[in-house]
Amino acid sequence: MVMYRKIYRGDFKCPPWFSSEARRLITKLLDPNPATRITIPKVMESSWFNKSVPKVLVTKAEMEFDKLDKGNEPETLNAFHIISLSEGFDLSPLFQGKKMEEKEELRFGTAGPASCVISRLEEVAKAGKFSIMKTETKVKLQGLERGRKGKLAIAAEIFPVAPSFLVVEVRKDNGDTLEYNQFCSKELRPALKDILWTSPPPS
Amino acid sequence: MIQCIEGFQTLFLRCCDLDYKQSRGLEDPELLARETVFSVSEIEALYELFKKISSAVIDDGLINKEEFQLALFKTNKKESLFADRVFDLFDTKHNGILGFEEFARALSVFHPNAPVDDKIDFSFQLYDLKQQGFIERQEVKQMVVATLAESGMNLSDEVIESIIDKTFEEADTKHDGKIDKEEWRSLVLQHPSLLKNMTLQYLKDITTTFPSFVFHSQVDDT
Repeated sequence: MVMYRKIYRGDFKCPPWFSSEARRLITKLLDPNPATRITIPKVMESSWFNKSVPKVLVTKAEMEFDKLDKGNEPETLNAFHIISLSEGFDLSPLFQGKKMEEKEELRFGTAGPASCVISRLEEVAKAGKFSIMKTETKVKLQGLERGRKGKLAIAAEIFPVAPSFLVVEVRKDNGDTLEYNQFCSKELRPALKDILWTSPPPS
Repeated sequence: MIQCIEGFQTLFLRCCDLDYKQSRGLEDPELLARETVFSVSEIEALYELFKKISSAVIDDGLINKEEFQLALFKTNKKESLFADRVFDLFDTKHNGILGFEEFARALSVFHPNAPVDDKIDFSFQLYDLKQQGFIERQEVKQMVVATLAESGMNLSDEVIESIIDKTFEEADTKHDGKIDKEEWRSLVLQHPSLLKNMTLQYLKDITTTFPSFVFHSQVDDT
């Protein structure tokens, strides 16, 4: 009851460690009279509000999109790299209820060459309105619009294994997983279908 | 005569008790927490996961091979050379089933905070298919072929041989046709990505993925 009386009268005390700007804003917010109470647009203009909160929460991945590290040599895969790709060694399904198709990583083999894979990805980027950054072995796509969790970003890396065999790993770099899965099934997979490795016909 | 029977009886009961102990509820979370990388709450959360997996086929508080395959591949129809190896390594008692202790101790190695040496050891044992203390060329070939077959990729024998040649050139520094524990360790230190599947980030968030432990917590809040 006492609480309600306090609300009705706008009777409150700010803790002593509140800044004066915060105090001023809160006084205007807790105004019991709706006619004189501060409006949202005015809140956004207030000095306290404008102090340190970033206008838009940009994720680190979005900021570092341009920094495609061209530095290090692509690691050539050895037999153990291939083995470590095996599903049997990947224990993460123990913790997920996800089905196989919804994994965040897509891996496939291709006869290559790498330039073919890259040009395919470029086509996908153009069709899906993504901006693209690339090196000889790495490609990054970033959506131009923000999705549910920021801009959807996809990273693809090409690993040479043998002269006529490459392994390409595609994974979500930023953004919402559902959007990523949709992108994979509707745009990425169809575009890559014909360069997927198929076993050589038995001789 | 009666003493004999009583003797057998106690022996029998003790045997049963051992099995029973293995399948009973979470006995001593603090002990497991002390001996693994996990905290007590993480052990309790892990126990929730264990209960889920171990009740899939037979609700006996133990994970058998089928339940393990089910949890890993979402189907018990899939046989995998690798899943078999993983299961065998988890099964330190070698009785074909995993109790919670074995489960927790093995998974502790996969925690992001587990010592790298443990991961190196575990992965070496994993790949040492015949458990001879070294990884042979034949074993590597078997695993490469099996992995590629999983994704429907079959490379020609020539290509596979050349991949393995290159690998052994780099790894087999003693040139004896096998990779021993030291050679494996140097290889991994040069290519840390080889240990990628030895770390499960999920283990860090396990208390949020399996929060129901909160209601069953046996540990007093201090």
